[in-house]
Order: sequence, then structure tokens, then C-alpha cells
Amino acid sequence: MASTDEALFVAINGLVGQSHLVDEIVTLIVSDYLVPAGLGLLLLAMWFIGKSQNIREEYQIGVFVCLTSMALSNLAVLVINIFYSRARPFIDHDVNLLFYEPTDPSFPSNSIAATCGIAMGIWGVNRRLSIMPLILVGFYGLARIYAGIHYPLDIIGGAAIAALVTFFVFKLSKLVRPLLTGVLRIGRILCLA
Amino acid sequence: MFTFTIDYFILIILASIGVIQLGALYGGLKGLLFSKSIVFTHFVGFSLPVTAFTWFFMTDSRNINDYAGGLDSNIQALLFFLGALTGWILTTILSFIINIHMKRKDLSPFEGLDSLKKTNYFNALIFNLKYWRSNWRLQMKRYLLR
Repeated sequence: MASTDEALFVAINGLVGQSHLVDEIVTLIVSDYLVPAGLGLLLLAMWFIGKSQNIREEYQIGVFVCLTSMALSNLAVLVINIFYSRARPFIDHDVNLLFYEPTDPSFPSNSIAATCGIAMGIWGVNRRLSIMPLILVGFYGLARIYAGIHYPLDIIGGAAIAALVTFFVFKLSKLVRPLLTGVLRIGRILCLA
Repeated sequence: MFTFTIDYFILIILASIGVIQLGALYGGLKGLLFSKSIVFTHFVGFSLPVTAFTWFFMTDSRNINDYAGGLDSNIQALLFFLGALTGWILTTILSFIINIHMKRKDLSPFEGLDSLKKTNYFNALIFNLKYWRSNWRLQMKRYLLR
């Protein structure tokens, strides 16, 4: 499994340098500021869309779910890294690096866990709206392998953690729904929700 | 570090103003819009984030580790929140100035954002605050526990 993972990494990262345009696009996508900020902005838009108050409330609770999924996915990665720490690909391999050298462990991918937490949260609220963020996160994961900072298994691990966490957060959100609705009602006094 | 922080903050402010315009358009919140024109709102909604991101990535190298001048995830999240909040405040002020004559009397204090379909933000806010100041004891239990 590990050797397949490494072989796949070497094959994908080996493509670096073959097309300057692709390298430039990947350098942009892999940035810490494009996909995470883009998903954050999508959540901001979600707060306002919805033609009626009931639909908007569903979206706004969805925003809470997405943010909680993101935070708990990050926490799960942190806990896993206490027990298991995998070195980054550029430590063990001769890598074509398109990004800076991150200092945190490689497995599971923290960035993918966080962004996937948001994208899967959106999927739970509105399937159609989630297509773009899920594709974006897919490219983000692929770009991080291409750029030489993650193995494919790190990306899959991050996405799996996010899926699991988001599933539980959705279950939990049904239990705390009265609390969330109360928070939104307070927001309505200030015309914020 | 400081320039990077300011740049990211400006990026989020500009992009969030555009995104709020799109959200308000699709939510029918006319009191938040800068223009009644759907085409113009789409233009502002898409061009502001695209321009902001283009400016952000074109002006400097942004793939920098947090200990070398980049932003760590906590600072990034905080700046995002502050930037979006500033974008929201600027949107409400600008849309209030543009929609200053958009006043309706048939508002309900329970509508929240929905009241922005009929009036501008500050008109709705003042109406709500007046209502809640005089009725908060009566309404709090009924409203929150409804």
C-alpha cells in the first residue's frame, strides 16, 4: 500500500516541469489563500441566499455545520498526529517542489481535512451548490500531490476524516438545532440572520 | 508580515462585498443591493472577488511559510472573519446611502434579513431595536422559545 502510494506520488510529481502553464496554475491552486478563502466566501454567500426565511435558516444552519466540520476535522488531524507522524515527501524523496516546505506531518492532510469539511458540509445542505466546492477541493488535493508536499494517501486520509466528521456533525446538528435556531433568532433582531 | 496581513485583509473585504451582493441578489434582499440591475449586480458580484484575488496573487509571492512572513491558519481565520465583517459593514452603509428612500411601514420585528426585501438595512435595524426595546420582556420568552 505504502509503496503504491509512493509510486503514485513519484509519477504525479514527476510531471512537474513538463508544462510551465500547468506548473503556474498548480502553484496558484496549492496556495493557502485561494481555495480556503474561496470556500469561506461561498459560506458567506450561503448566509444570504434562500428566497424565504425557512430556506435561509437551513442554509445558515448549514454554515454552522460547515464551520464546525472544518474545526473538528482539524482537531482530528491534530489528535492523529500525536500518535502518528509521517514525514513529508520532500524529506524522503528527490521532489520537484512547487511550494514551501511545511513543517507539520504529512498524514493526514490538514488542509484537505479542513476544506473537505466545508465542501462536504455544503453537500449536506445543497447537492447542486456543493458541486463546485467539491471539484475545487479535488483539484486542491491533486495540486498538493503535484506540488510535492503530500502523498496521495495523505489526501485520501484527510478527505475520509472530513467525511466522517461531517457525518457526525450533521447528526449532532439535529440535536442542537433548537440552540442554533435560537442563535439565528437573536441575529434576526439585528437583521443579521 | 504586516504587508501580507493588510493585503489579505483587503482581499477579503473586497471579495466579501462582491459575494454579499450576489447572495443578496439570489436571496431577493433588495435593500442590500447597490443597483436594481441584475446585470450590474452580477458584474459587481463576480468582478470584485476576481479582481481582488488577481491583485493579491499578482502583486507578490504568496506561497510563504507562516514563520517566514506568511499567515498561520488561526490568523488567517481571524482576518477572514474581520475582513468579512468589514465588508458587511461597508455594504450596509453603501446600500443604505443608495437605497435611502426605500422605506416601508409594514415591517415585522421577526423578519430579520427578510425585511431587507422591503427596506434598507438601517431602517430595518432601527425598527427592530425600537420594537425590542419596548417589548423585550414580553417577547423574549415567546420569541426565543417559539
